[in-house]
Amino acid sequence: MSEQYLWDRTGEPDPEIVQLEQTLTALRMAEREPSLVMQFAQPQNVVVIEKRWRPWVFALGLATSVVVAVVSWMVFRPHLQPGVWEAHQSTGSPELAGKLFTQGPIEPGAWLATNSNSFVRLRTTIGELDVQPGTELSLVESRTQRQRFVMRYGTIHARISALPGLFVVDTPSARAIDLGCEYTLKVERDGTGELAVSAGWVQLQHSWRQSLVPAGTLAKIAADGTLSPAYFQDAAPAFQQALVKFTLEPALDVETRKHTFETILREARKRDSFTLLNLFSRAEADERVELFDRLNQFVPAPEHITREIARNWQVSSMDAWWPVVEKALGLTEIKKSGKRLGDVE
Amino acid sequence: MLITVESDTSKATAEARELVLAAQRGDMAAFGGLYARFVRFVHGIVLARTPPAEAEDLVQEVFLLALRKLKDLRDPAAFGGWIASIARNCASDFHRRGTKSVELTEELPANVPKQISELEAKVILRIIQKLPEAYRETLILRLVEGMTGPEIAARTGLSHGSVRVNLHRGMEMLRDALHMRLSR
Repeated sequence: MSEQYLWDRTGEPDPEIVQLEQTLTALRMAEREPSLVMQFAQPQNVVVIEKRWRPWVFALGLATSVVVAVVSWMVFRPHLQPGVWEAHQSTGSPELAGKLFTQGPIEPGAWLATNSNSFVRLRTTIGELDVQPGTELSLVESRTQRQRFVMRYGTIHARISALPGLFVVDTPSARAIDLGCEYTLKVERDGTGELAVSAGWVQLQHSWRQSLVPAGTLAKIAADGTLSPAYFQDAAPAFQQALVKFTLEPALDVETRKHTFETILREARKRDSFTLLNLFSRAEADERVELFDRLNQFVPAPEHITREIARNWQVSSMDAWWPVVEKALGLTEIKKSGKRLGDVE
Repeated sequence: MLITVESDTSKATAEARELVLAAQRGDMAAFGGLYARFVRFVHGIVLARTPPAEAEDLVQEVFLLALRKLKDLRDPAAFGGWIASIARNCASDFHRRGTKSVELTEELPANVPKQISELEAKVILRIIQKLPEAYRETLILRLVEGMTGPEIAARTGLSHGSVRVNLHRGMEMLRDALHMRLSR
């Protein structure tokens, strides 16, 4: 048995341990969820039962419904109930399970759809969710420990004040986990998407991949679930383009990869240190040394983190550099105040 | 090298301590930081005792309880051990509630495919869950959650030596169990 590999994954890999790691990864938290593909592939299970109504039954039913609705509205209007998402405001003609929906609670499992002229603001005890035009989503879990929406496509804006991990949105390619924040999530019909965080931070994940997205930054999502690191929206356009290409486009040829990586390093500013620090996990050994040198110019590394440590990077190698970078960028203060990073400099 | 690794461990502990102090003052973003750093760890602890299908909900339960009780935590540096206790208690409560779960047969399908399969993973997990507590937690954190020995030491508060021993002995026992099954 390779003791060193078992200890910290350095040294010669032990084939049996590697096999076990690969197999057991299927049980890792992010990978345990039922296949998202299945959820998105299934059509709406809406059963419409046609009945013949006599006019007086219809009139009585309608009158009763109106009375019940008015009384319910008067009694329950001021109270939001935990786990119940209600339409608080709407424009146009949004639909819930294929029917016009402008007020009241949404039913778990039913699909809420807005066309290009419709908008709905949903509200519950933990916050608000703006469902922008051209969106389709469904509330699939509504429990004390978990409020989970599935979103096929469109744009939502969430303002949440809840326990981290409680509010979750699944898209065809990634999962956005609220860590106490405000954010906008856009998903195209091909599964690509973008998450922009205004306050707090969000954990974006797909399978074992994850990207932490703090206030003032955004992250891109590829159709296969690959995630870009978070980057600032005011970063140089060349930096942004190169970053997205380097992290999301599969199998770049050697020359293109080299050129793209050089562009990232050249165009980076001190403010982009957060993004650079996220690149160690995506870079090759020699690239990691260059990355170390560039990042070290902006925010000097803690003494024990050296070029050699960077070359032989492991998951926890850069842990001690994170708080230094966060402090240098004022990120800690911004997290506490809830402001955008751009507001402070 | 050992000094560097131990230094990383103590820095990670110091970082967690700062987050705990901030979270105790009501900083939800700091609690979010603790969640992000400890969620895999908590999932591993829970997974050592419960079926995979239940683990994620229990993880949420653990963090909900942790948030409620955080002000009672006197030593912020002990957050890892503290939340691990909550996770173990939640897993025990799950079994006390008598929640039904599907029992696996532990039988691998004939001609085990080389590709990764969740069924295969669950069977191996079931074997690990039968190992002594210290070994099964450490092995799951290492093999399922992908944490390294130093990371496990930093989160649990155990010494590097203890984690090394747990990993080594646990791995030996797991190998024996797997080989016994193959030779049956």
